[in-house]
Amino acid sequence: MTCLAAIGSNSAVSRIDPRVRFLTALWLAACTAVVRNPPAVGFALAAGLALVAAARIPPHRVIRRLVPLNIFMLLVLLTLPWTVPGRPLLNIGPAVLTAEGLQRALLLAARGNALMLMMIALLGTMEVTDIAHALSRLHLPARLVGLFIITIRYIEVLHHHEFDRLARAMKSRSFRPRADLHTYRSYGYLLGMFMVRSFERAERILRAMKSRGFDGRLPALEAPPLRPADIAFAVSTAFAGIIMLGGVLP
Amino acid sequence: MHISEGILSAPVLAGGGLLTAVGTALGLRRLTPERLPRVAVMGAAFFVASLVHVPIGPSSAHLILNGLCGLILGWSAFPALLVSLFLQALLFGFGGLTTLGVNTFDMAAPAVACAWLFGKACNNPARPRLVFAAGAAAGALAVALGCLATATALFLSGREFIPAIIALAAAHIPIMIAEGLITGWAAWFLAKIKPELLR
Amino acid sequence: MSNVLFELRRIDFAYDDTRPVLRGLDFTLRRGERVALTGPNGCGKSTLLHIMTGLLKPSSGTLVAFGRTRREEKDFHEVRRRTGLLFQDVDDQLFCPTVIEDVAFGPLNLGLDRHAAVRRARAVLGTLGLDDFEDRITFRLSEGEKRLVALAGVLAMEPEVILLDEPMAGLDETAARRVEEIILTLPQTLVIIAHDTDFLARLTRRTLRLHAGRLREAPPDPFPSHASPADAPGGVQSIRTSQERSKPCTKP
Repeated sequence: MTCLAAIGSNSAVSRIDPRVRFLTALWLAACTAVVRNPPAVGFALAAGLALVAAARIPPHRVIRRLVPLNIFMLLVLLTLPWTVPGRPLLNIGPAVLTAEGLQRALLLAARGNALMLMMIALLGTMEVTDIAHALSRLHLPARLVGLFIITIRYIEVLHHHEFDRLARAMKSRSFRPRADLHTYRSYGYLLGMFMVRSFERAERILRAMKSRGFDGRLPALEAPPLRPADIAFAVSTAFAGIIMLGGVLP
Repeated sequence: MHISEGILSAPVLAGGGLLTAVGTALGLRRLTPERLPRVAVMGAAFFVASLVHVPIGPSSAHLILNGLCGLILGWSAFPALLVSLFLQALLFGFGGLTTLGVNTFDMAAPAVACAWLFGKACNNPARPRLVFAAGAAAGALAVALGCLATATALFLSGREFIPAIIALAAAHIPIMIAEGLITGWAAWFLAKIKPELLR
Repeated sequence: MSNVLFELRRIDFAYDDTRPVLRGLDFTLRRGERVALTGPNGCGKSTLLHIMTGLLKPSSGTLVAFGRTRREEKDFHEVRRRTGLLFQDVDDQLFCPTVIEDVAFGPLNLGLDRHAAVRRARAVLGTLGLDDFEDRITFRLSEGEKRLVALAGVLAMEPEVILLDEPMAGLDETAARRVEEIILTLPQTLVIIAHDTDFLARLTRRTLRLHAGRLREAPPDPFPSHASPADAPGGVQSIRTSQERSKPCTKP
């Protein structure tokens, strides 16, 4: 229902402790982002696919989240093969398509998709509130975590109760966005009104949260102890990262 | 404007992360409990706005709004945008986890710059035309500077990205104009109805 | 057939799968009718009006409006031009800084140039007795004033049908009377959601009750529309017992 909904998943991956998932996501992302040689990138892509499969996420959900990345990658794939110097594969006028360029473009695309797959599998299946708890238990600055929590709360309320309603009312009066001044002015007013209403509502929401004892911090629930499965998962991903960094695969 | 995963080089990613960490620390220091709703609302609005598609010429783009964000939040734009971009990466696949630092800096630093340049002019409820002009300038410049920062990050990751940078910059010129006008009218609206937000 | 404006057949709608709101709903609206829509809160009355204007899309069923089947978003552009909708929460509707801009917003969307749109907006404000409201800030109007301005915004589009979603909710007596007087003079085909049966009796002849996802013709109106309910002793009481007095629902 809400735009904040996580990908529903009941799998071995989604049962891993949120703290462990968050840290392993960071670790794997950091390792993948620095590798440059094809076997290591291939390994990362395989790891990403394996994680998504283990998390049992429906393919269409995965593909939808890969779309923005691959629009960007399309730009890279269209330009890099012509700009990286190297062995020419194809000449069109002054432009030269090189093998090195093509390889590099494909490598970046594979690396990007690998990173995104890991994030979808490890974090995309976590409800935002679980992420907030994980961040809090990992001792991120309390103010930042508090901001994160309230922002989530506001997005849920404001998106559905303020923005959608204003936008729908505009539509009922035959508003159809075009590339013209009337549209831009209307959007400006819409945003202004959205802000004003949001702030007033935000004050009320926060007052209600405070009246129930919210002080900018998550209530410190007892963190569940790590299970052997969590530790095994952490160790194996740590090892996978080291393999990638080593860049050596049998 | 969100740079995707997998493209930037490690030093650029690390540099962006560091700059964002500093900006966020500065922003958090100013984030008193009284200002919390304001900052969170702006982060939420920024997130929601990214779901709004605005027609631009024959195509459409989603709103960026970092200029407006800067005018309302100043330094607190850093934490607000960090949270919002994190959620966008998580839920929609915009940007990514490793690029979070670079992307936040690319949007928040221009926001802070615009607050510094145009904040005073926008705090003039009695002169709505000036507010509109300053708001429009902030909206457009924030996109332009964001684009420049993005281009720099790409350029530092490799010269082979130059054509991609040019394509990206060209695509952002019409966005800059639309965003400027929308921010101008939004600022004008706020100056008229709730000027304390622009203080 | 030409006097049938809306024809809804077997409409199903749910906000989420577990809680259907409309189930096989049928509804026919003819030109010149004034229909009252009643039913408990949260039963889907507002939803129905939003479906009629294509703001929400039913999961199944057919909707014929102004002689054509409407299915996709683009089919509804014409429907919205010819059908005005007054939202239950006026604050949803008003979004421009000044009254004149808000009222001119609809005409601008119809393709009028700025000059003509403002002229039309002024004329409508004039007929509602709001001549001096032009430059007032919408956000600071009283509830009653907001409702009148929102109505002006709808009327400025010169619709053939007007859908009114609880036009009196949240208004004090004076404001409610003023809104009622204006609604009584509207020549358009009307659908009105309201809880105040006295008001509905004065205004409409046909009452439909939405219950369990369907519409039922309510029992014949004890008061013909030309008679005031106060003239029929005892009648007021008997109606009051069946009316809903709870707060207006806040979804969708």
